[in-house]
Amino acid sequence: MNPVNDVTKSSNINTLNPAEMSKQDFISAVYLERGEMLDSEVRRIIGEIDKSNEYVDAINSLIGKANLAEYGDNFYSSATWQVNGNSVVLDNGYGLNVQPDGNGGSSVTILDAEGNQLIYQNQTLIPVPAGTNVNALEVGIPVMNDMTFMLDDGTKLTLKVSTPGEAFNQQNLSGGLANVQSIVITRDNQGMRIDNLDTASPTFHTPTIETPTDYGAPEEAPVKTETITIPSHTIRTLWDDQDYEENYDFIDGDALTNFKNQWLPIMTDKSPAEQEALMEKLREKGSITISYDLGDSDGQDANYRQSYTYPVFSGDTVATLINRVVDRSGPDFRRYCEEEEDGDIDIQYLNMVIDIPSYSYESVIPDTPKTTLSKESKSFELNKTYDDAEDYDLIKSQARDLVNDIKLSYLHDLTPEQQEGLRRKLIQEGLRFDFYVEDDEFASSDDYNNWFSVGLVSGESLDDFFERAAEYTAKRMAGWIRFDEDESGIEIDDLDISVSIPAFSYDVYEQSDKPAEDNTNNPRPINIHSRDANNNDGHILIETGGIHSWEYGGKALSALTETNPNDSSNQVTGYFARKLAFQNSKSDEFDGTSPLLTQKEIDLLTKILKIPYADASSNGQLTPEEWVDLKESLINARDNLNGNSQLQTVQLQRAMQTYNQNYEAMSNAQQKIYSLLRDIISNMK
Amino acid sequence: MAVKLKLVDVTKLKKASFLVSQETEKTIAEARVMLGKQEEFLQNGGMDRQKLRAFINSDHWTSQQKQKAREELLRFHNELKSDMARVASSKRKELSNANRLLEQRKITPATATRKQRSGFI
Repeated sequence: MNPVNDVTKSSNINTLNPAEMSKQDFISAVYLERGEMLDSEVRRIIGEIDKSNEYVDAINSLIGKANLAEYGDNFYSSATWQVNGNSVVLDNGYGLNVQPDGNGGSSVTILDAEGNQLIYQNQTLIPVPAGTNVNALEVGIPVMNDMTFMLDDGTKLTLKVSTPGEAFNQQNLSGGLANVQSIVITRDNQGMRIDNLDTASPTFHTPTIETPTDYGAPEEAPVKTETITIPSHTIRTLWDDQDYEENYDFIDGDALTNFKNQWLPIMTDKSPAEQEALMEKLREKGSITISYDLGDSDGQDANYRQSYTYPVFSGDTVATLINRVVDRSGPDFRRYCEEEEDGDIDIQYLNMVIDIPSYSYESVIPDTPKTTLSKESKSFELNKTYDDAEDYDLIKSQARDLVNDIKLSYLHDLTPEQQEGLRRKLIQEGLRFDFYVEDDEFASSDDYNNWFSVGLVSGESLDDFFERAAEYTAKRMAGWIRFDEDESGIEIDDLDISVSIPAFSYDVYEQSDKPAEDNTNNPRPINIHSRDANNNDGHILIETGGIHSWEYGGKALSALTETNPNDSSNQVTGYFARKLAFQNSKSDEFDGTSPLLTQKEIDLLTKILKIPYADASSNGQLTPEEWVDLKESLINARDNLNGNSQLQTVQLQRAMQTYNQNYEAMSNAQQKIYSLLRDIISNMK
Repeated sequence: MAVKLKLVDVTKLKKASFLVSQETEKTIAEARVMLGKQEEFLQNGGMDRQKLRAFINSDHWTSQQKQKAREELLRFHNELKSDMARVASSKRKELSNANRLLEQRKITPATATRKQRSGFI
């Protein structure tokens, strides 16, 4: 045979002769093909069932955690852990066994209920799943700094380590390993400690229980309530104008806005309890009344006075009520004035008044002994002479000056307790402004002497009240001179204003010796053993499905990758990645006492099962309430998966039936098929 | 007073998830045994999927034979799929019935209807 393309040897082609091939061969081949088809079908279903079983397992462990959060005691009345020689029995199947390691130190085996292990030996932690062997070099966790292991049931194991004998070398990733000296174990108010683990005879401290100092409601300074009665009073806005520039539009426009701007903030600044008590009273009364008093000066002076009464609805709040009353009555009063006046209007003044009935409410005060002190009355006055000033606004500005003086020299020196005492006094009795105005007209002087009193409205600050009182009483004084005394043209010579701040008593409460807790950030009872509270946690690792499996920073510890410090484009995995992760000391504080969600579980919930859940902490530290809510969804999800698995199973069983028949058929004709296979193979050569 | 008893077929009650898991695992284990057998069988003959395909599609067979084989395989596949769908749907029915078995059924008092003669017979 001539070589063809350097091929010298014949390839020994054994051509299949179609004539020799029977239909039976073909049918057998088709059977084989069927078998292949069935094979892929069966594998698909098995894959699905496996996945669904895996989810069910994860859900069951989550439900277990939820049960722990829901029913687990979050405080112990007696110690439940036992120290038996070199072993410690913890709750929920966890345990710990300490043995000498033969090199002068101790090795520690931590176990869970399923028999998985986490073995500490020779500066390394080795996770061992139940019934398997592992390669310590592959799975080992280097012990370099303090580490805290959060077990599924909320037990914390904190390994306290010594300083490494040899510092960690970033160049070749060597060194940095440290001996475990102590293990601090805490769960809620139970705690214990094992010391001297770097020797062959460690010290086991007995588990202790600490009475939770603040078990139950979050700690607050003790308080009680006291009934405060507010006398019936009015809230009023007096507007006056010497130039008579405003017309009807003012009545249902700016006047209403002014009133609301002045009073709504004060009314809604009252404590919720007070607002509710006020509304309760108004509802009981059934109605609220607003009165208008308008002075008009065009040609003949006239007064327009009108009151409007509105029902109080059960759904009303202070704000909605005042808004409604003001907004409705304004246009009504404008219409009334327009009808009465029959022409243009020049407004001299407008007084709007809402009557507030007397009501009582409970005020929260410290529940500590108090001393009642008193402060004597004090008078202030401001006297000025003018050169026949023809301006009523002088009264206002002088009253304001006086108040500024009072604020600086008196009010701002009061302690908060004194301010509260004065406020209460002024609510009850009001503040009186005395005015003396000497009017010089052609040497015959008229003296105007009067006083006005105004009460503090609860919710108002002292500063605001004094300003309002000065302005209001000054306007009243001016109005009195202008309209009641019928003074035609004032020429102020002398203006004296005096205020007498009444004597008042005030209560000083003894400081509670317990500091108030930060309730907003820590709404759950704090119940932490001092061994936990006094020890910083190190790197925090979270158990995820057995004591051999850990999550660190949201990633499975076994899959941890770190950037190579010597080559930033390179990722380090395995043992050395863990060395890089734990190289620096860390003192995190983890104060959750109930089970928490691992990142894997969060992924399962959000990405696969699509179960929404509430997590106020946003890092998987669910509150017991949140766990209970989640549990319900979990049980539903498990039921769904359960039903799904059953469906898949019957399909698998059905497929297997055919599979088996097909296999039978193939193997019954085994001889035949073997010969067929041989033929095929030789044909392929 | 007459008490109405409701008979419950315990075999059809809702199954706990761990029972289902056990059952599925058993089935899967059996299936894996068979998968292994078939794999071994094919391997013993030195056969694999590609070779088998090539053989069936080879020119040794008439186009009519190949067509027939393809049809046969398709029919087989469809039959299997529809059979599986059928068992799944009957299982689904059974599950929903099982879920209803222990539920308290609301008994609405039957409105008494009197049969009325509809006319001359």
